[in-house]
Amino acid sequence: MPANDLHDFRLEARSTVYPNRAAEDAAVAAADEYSFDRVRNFERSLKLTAEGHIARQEGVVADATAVTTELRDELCFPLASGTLDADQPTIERYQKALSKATSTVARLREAAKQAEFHAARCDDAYGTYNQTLRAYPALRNR
Amino acid sequence: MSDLPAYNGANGKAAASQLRRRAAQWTEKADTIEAEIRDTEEAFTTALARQDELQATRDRLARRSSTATRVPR
Repeated sequence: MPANDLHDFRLEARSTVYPNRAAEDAAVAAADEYSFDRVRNFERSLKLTAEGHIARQEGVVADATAVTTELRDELCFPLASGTLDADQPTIERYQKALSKATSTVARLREAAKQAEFHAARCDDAYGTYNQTLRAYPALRNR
Repeated sequence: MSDLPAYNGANGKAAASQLRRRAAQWTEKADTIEAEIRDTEEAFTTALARQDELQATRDRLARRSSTATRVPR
């Protein structure tokens, strides 16, 4: 593929002079098919990356549920209702829960940010693949 | 790029919307935890104030009781 990316490659196929209309149609169709096949493979890998990202967040989602329950049911409600004293052991327990909660929030927000990044790439597999080819010319001939 | 037949990226778009749904869920979970932190801190403040009030009442009662039991000379 001598072009910078698949889009240029498809444009070149259309701007080349052919001996007749049939040859032109066949060349253009072949360029599109070749390009779309490559994008389809790339799209498959984007989808796998997306699924992998979601699967890797199972732990943080479980931590989020656990820390929410701990804060709400074991600290907040009992403290508010007066069944738990704000004594030293409770304060120490809260500090541990708070540290876990704060890191879980950071992990959730990072996971969401990464998901948005992957989503933008998946949304436009064709554009993303062309961008990748321009950034990494070595991939053009693979 | 619109002058060429477009690539049908339905699979990628489906993956993107699944990612965005998850991102929204994770953001919501993070917001929920932050709200729980705020509520728990408020509950702590309330509990401490209640304990202080209780202690002050106990101290007052103790003072009153020690005054009442003092034998006049």
